[in-house]
Amino acid sequence: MMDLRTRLEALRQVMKGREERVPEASRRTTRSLSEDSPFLEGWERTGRYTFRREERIPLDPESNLLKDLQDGAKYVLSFPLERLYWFDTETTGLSGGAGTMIFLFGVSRVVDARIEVQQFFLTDFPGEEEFLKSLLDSVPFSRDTRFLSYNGSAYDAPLLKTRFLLQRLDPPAIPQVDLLYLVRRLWKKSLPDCSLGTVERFVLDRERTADLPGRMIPLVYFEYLRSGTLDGIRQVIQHHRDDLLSLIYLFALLGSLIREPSIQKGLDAAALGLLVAMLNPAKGWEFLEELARKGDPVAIERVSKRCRRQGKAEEGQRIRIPYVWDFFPVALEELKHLEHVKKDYKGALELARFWLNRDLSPSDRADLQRRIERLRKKTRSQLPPVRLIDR
Amino acid sequence: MSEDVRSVLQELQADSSFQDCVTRWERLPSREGVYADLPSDLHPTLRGALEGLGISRLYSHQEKAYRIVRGGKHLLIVTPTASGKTLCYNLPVLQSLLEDPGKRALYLFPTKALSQDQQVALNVSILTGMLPVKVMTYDGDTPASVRTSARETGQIIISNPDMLHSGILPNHPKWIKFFRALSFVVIDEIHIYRGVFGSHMANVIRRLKRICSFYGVSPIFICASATIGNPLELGSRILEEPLEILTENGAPRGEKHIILYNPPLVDRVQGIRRGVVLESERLALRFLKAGIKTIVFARSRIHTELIATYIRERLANVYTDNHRIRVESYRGGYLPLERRAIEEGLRNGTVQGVVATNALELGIDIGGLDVAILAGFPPSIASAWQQAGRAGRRETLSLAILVASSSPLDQFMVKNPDYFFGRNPEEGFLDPENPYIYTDHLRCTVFELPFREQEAFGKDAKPILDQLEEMGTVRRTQETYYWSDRSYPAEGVSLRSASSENVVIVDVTGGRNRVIGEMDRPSAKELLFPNAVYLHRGLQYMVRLLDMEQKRAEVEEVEVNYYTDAIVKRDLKVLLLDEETEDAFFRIVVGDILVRSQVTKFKKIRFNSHETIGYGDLSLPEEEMHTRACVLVFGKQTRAGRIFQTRKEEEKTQILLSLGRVYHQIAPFYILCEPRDLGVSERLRDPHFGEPALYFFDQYPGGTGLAEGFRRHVEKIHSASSRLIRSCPCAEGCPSCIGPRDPQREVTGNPKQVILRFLAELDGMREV
Repeated sequence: MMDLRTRLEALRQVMKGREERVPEASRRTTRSLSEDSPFLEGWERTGRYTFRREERIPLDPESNLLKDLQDGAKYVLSFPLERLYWFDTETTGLSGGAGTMIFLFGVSRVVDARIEVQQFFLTDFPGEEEFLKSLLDSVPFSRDTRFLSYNGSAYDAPLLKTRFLLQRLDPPAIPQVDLLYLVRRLWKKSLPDCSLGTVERFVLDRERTADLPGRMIPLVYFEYLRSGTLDGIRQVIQHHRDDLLSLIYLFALLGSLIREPSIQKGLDAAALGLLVAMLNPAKGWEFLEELARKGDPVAIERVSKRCRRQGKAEEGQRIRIPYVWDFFPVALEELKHLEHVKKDYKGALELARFWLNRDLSPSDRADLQRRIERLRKKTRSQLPPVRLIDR
Repeated sequence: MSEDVRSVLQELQADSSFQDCVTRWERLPSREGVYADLPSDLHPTLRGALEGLGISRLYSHQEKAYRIVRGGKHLLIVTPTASGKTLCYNLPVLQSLLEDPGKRALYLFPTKALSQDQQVALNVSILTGMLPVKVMTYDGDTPASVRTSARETGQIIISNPDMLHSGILPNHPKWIKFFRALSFVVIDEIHIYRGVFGSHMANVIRRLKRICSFYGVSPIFICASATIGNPLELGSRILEEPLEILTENGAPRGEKHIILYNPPLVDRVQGIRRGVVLESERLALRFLKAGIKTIVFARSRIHTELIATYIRERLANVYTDNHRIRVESYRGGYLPLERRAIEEGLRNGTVQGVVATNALELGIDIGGLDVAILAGFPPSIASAWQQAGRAGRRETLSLAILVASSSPLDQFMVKNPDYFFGRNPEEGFLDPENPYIYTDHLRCTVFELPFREQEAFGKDAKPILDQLEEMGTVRRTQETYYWSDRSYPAEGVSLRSASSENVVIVDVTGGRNRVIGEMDRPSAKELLFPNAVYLHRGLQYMVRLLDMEQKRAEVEEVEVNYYTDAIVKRDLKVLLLDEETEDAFFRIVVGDILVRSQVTKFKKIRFNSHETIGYGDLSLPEEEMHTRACVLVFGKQTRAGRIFQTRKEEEKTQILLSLGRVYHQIAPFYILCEPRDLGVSERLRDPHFGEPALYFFDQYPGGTGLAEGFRRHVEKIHSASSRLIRSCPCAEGCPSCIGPRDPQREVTGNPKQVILRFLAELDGMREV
């Protein structure tokens, strides 16, 4: 068989358009990034291929930011603020996998009433080992810290681990707290998506001007590798720094909401109530009761269930009664009450049969049918009941 | 049961109208098993588990397989159905895992939806289930929660090449624990990896070995193949490692009769025989009524349903007990649960008969059947033996009848029984160097690990890497190529098909919107053009719309008395010739060509009479493909060329068309492929060679080894074709040989005589 090169030449004639090509000018590079390559102002060289930058941003003493952050640390994590780190990465790929590298790593913390941001930049692929080692030197990865991220437990942290393994280095401990999960709980219903950009715009009111779309970032880096152009990289670094700051603001917002929950536009109030009930119980239940009074079905169900568990069955029923024909979870709570506390089997049966004709999930329906079967048996051995419910 | 079979056999032997159709009745005597003791070093737990299954000794080949693998060598086992193949690889693997539970093994099966097919897992777990060994299936359907534990704790991972390619290798750091301890790779049904799939597989194995060496392991490969012509060659091309081959078979076998059966001629002139569907149904009834468990293998899903329906109708007579005989059909497209129920029915005896496609061929346990009827020859001798092996899994008397259809392949086979029984099945070919496939996997491998300049990936990777660098997909720095693209390359590469660009066929009759099938893009242009009549499951549809952008064809049910045939204008351009030889007849050239095809017109042809009743014009964009071809040139210096020159002009065309057609049909006897995998083009005056030429080209872009395979077997293909034409009883050509005489394109004289005279002179024989 012919050698591959000759075949390729012939093939090329017919292969046109098969690969997505980059413009002629930006192809093959002769540039090599060496020790004396210049980089952006304010960056210090830490190795042949790595640069580091540090920035200190004082907190506005007029704002509540510090207090909010402290409350966040206390309520969300029960962990001292001084040992919290926020981190984020920029990578060469969109879907992960062994061919995706991290070229920009950032970490920030709050100390002495200011935000400290550190960024680490990798100037070319062969420097990865050095780059990762410089992270080990500067970032206090340890079990005594917490690393807060946005989607980090699914993306950044595993990717970081992968990179260490591929360089045959021991991956450090990165105790993870992923803020994406909290954001999903609270805003999923009202936001078009839960990307950090969307959260910034709709929740944090932080509008960025001339920001780079995330999916363009790998292309900018590749372009930099080919040509050494720093314009795009400058934007990437700015974008990355803004992301890190947004994470801190987001965390502060969570801190204030958990300290003092309130109804806000776009925020899933019941979800907030449930979250706060877990992290800051007194405030949380107070907030849920308020929501129940306003007719929030989730709050009603939870609050009345709590009443039952605390032996305040009558109070629970009072909160519940107006809604048992409208919300199935509330009805279920009422059914339990009628059957086990009131022994009003007929009333329970009526409510159960009403719900059987409604749109229910298969498992709810099956449960309901079992309940009806049981209630039927019980009604046969019972005197006429007192009617408690009226439609 | 054996007694019932024997008495029907005697009946058949005495039946002269049956005997008239038999071209060969072969009796394979029963054979004693050859046994060996359980290996003395066998782990007591494993020994106990085997004894629990009633296994106190091994077949000789199982014991040999154990020794070869324990000796650290790569092994290829070639065995027929039901000879205890699974134990050949399970035994050494389980022994090692029991000795060192930290070790890991990867089992690869060609099945696409592994989780659906519990059979594979079942086969593996019969033994492992009794042992403290964790076996896990990992494929596209494995839930995320199970995936982590599979990676961390699965000692044997069952997967398929597709998942290895797109899920495991690109994420190998997540599998670090697995790869660091990977000691065995089992590749079952390795004969399936040929052509496109095989060319991909060879490259996936290259990637796997590259990752293994990164983690410092070199696992032992254990492969199993059905009987094909060149298992060692195929296995070596996939693994690129020296392999020990083990072909002996110590399993016992019952007496077995194999009958080649050619349905009687109903029209001697046109060479029409009684249909394979009706004939198979008649034969099957004969056995079923005698209470004999029978399986019928049909060539298509439609045939499966037809034969099953006919059989049930015939058995439905309420005045006899026959209506109690249960016969099921079994084919792809049934739900897994339906399939399991039928398999269970066959095992426990509530189902007496089954009509199946080759979906039942691979390793599914359906217990002992006594008779197998093959309604039409399977596409290869290898699978003919697998299907025939379905009868008589135990040590009992069994029978297989191969009923020939009128296709040239079947007619050749049934008329040349020596070919069938001679140990000479087809050879599998593949081409890991296919530039498209190779490039795709090179991209994947650079993604998986940076590629050092002096590294090899099969052949020299540098030219393609440089090309990728130029396109910006990889970056070269410090003598290493790095992946520098934001995509995930494995995502866009399917191991099984030419392209992911299939056209979906949608039935829109009366506002319906139902997908009834799919077709690859080039074929769609030839079969699904607007106003084409498209046949699907016995129904006629007319194509209303072919949208190549949306990859969608809309069809509507119709009832018309004609079918359509595209007239394809095909233009071939030779790009590169890299091998040229001369054999006894032709100048033979192998090289790269460019095939441009365009459908410009179509014919409407009336059913039955086959007369052309009209034409239609089409304007579809041209289809372009770069591929490999084997060209037979009738050069003036060659024997074929000299004789050809002496023929009249109109005879020349006839000769080229006849040879082209028959070679094309016969080629799959020697090369594992189907006729549709090969394209053929006849050139009376080829512009490149300036002489008459026959082109045979790979229908897969870039080629998958078929052109090379054709070249290797050209002489055999010729002599088989020549024999087929000469032995065909038709007078003027028929579908079983050179094709029916076409009244539209009249040749002076009888076309059959034209080709017979040419062949006689070429082959140096006296006139017939």
